[in-house]
Amino acid sequence: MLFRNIRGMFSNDLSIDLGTANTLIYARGRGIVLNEPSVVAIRHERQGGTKTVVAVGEEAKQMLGRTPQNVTAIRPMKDGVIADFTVTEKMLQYFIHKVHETSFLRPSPRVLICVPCGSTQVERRAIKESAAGAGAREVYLIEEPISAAIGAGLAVHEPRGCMVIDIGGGTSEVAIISLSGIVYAESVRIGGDTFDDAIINYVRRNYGTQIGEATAERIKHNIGSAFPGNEVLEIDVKGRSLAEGVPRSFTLNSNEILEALQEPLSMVVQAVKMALEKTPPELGADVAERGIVLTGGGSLLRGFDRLIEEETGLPVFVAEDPLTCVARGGGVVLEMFDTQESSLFATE
Amino acid sequence: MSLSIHTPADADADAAPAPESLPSPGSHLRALREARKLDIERVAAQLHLQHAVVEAIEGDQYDALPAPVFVVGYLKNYARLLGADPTPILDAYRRLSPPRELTLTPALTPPDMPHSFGSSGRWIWLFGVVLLGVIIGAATLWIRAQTAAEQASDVLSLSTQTDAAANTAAASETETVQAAPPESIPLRNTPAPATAATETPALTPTAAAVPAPVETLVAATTLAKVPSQPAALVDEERDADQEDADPPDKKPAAETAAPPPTSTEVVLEFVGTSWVDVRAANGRVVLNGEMRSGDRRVLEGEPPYKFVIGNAAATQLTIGGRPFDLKRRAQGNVARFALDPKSFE
Repeated sequence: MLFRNIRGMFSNDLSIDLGTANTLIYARGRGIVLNEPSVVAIRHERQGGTKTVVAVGEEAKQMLGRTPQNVTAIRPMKDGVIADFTVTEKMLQYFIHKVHETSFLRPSPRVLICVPCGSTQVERRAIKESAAGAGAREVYLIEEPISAAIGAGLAVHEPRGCMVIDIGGGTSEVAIISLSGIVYAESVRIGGDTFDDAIINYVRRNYGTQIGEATAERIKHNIGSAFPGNEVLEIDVKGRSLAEGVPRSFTLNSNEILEALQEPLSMVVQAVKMALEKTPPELGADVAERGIVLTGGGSLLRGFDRLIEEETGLPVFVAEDPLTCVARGGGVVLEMFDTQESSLFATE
Repeated sequence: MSLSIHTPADADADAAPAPESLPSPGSHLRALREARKLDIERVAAQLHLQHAVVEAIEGDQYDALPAPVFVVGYLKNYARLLGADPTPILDAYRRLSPPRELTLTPALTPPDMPHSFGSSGRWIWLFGVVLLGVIIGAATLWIRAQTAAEQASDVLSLSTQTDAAANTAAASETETVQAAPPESIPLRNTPAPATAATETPALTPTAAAVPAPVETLVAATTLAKVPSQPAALVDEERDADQEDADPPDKKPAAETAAPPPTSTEVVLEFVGTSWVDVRAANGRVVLNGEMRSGDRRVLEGEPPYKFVIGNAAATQLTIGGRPFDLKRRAQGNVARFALDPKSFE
C-alpha cells in the first residue's frame, strides 16, 4: 500500500472511458492521451499451455478476423461491460503503462472509470477490480451519461433538465440530468456493434454474401446513414459468396444501409421516446426549449440527429468531438478531484 | 474551480486567424436565408426552435441563448438547413465568444456555504474533539474520586454509620418530645378563642356585644352551634375529651422511652452458619465455635476484640445498635480484624 502511494506520486490521475469499441484515456493536465480500440490479441502457446498477449489496441484490431489458429483477437468488453475479466485487466494494464511511458516506476494512478448507467452491481465491481488489478491506486466510477454531458459542455449542476443520448459501441444511454444527477436514464444494449451486425445480416440476406465485422464497420463509417439524405453514396465491398464459396465484389449504397439499420435505430428512438415520456414535465420543458445533445461514436452516423429530431420534434444536435465526450467529461471531474468533494461519482 | 474544455476545433480556431472580412455568424446566416427566400417562421419550424431563438441567432444575441454547446448546435443545424458549410460559421462564432469557462458544481458546494461538505466535516471534527475532551476529563475525575474513596473508605464508612446512628437517635428523641406534650396544650382541635367565646356568654351573657366586632362574629357562630349548653357542661366535656385523648398518645412515648442499648455493646447476629473466633484484649477467648442461623451473641470481655469470622456475609455485627460493615473487612468471605467498640462511642 505504501509503495502504491509512493508510486502514485509519479503517476497521473486518469479518466478512462472503457468502451466496448474504443478505450480512451484522459490524463490529468495533459488531455486525451490514448484512443485505441478495445481489442487484445492473445497467443496460445500449446494446447492448455500459457497464454501471452501479442498485441493490444490498434495493432490487435487489425488482427480481428485475420488471426492464425494459435492467436485470438478478443474484444473483452461487450455491451459496455466486462465480458472477459482477465483480458480486460491485461488491456487496462497495457494502456496505463502506455500513458506512463516515461516513468521508470510501475505506475499507480488514481483512476476514474465511466460505467453504463444500466450496468449491474456485479458488472461495476468487475470493472473496479479489473482497474485495481491493472495497478490503479484508487478507482472511482462515474455514470457515462453524466460524464458525456459534462464532456459535451452542458452545465449539469444547474437545476435545469438536459437530455443526453450517448450512443456507444455496445450500449446507448439516454438520460435526463439535472443538479449533477440522473433524473431518468434508459440504457439499451444497442450501439455501433449492433449496427455492424445489422449490416452483416442485411448483406447476407440480400446479396448472399458473408462480410466480416471490419468490413461492416467500414461500410457504416463511409456510407451509413440514419436519415434519408439528398445524396446517395456508394461503396464497393468484397465478401465471400455463400452460394459459390468464393470471394465476390459488389456495390452497396447508402439507402440500402439505411434500410439495414432501421431495426436498431428504431429501438434507440423508442428508448428516447420512453425517456421523454418518463421525464417530469418541468425538465421536459427545459429539454424542449434547449434541445437534446448527442454524444458517442454512434452519433457520427450520418443523419442520426435528424432522425431523432424528426421523431421527437425537438432540436437535436451532435456535440463537438462526440467520440471523446465521455473521456473529456471524466477529465473535467478529474481536474476537480482534490478541490471539490464530488457528488458525481457512482456507487458500486 | 473551473476550466475550459479544449477540443480540436478550438485548437484549429486558435491556430488559423480568420480573414477580417468574414461576417458575423448571425448576419451570414441571415444573408443565406434571405438569398433562399425563406422566412424565419419556416426556419424555426424546420429547426424545431422558437421564433425568438432564430432571431437571436441571426442578431448575434448570444446572451439570450443557452450555453455555447447549444448555440454551436443551433448554428450547425441552421447552416446545414441552408445548405452551407458550418465550419466557417462556427469559427466566426468562436471568435466572437471565446470558450466559456466551464464550472462543474459551484451551486452545490460553494466554499463559504455553511452546509457544504467540507465545513460540516470540520464541525463534526470539532465536536469529536470536544466530546473526547469531556470523556477524558470525566474519566480522570472518576479515577481520582475512586482512589480517594479507597484511601478514606474506612473513615467514610464509619462516619456515615455514625451519622446515620445520630440521626436515628435524634429522631427517637423528637418522638419522645412529641409524645409527651405539656399538659397545658389542648390536644383537641377546638380553637382556644372559640372556647373563650363560649365561656364568655355563659359567665356574662349581657356583655355579648361588648368585645371587638370580629370576636363577636366568632362568638356568635359558636353560640349558634351550642346555644343551649351551659358553660359547666362544656367544661366537663372538654376535660373528658382531654382525658380520652391523652392515653393513646402517651403509649408510644412509653415504648420509645425503653432504656437505650449500651453504646459499646457488641452484638453478633447470624443469618447463616458461620465459624467465629473472638478474643478479648488479654487473649481470652470470648466466643469460639460454629454459630447457626438465628444465633445472637453479645460479647462480654475486655475490648479491643480480635475477630475472625468465617462467613462474613452471614454475620451481622452491631456496636451499640449501629451496624458495622463486615464486608469491607472481609477478604473472600473471611473477615479478620481488630475492633475497639469505645472508638465508636
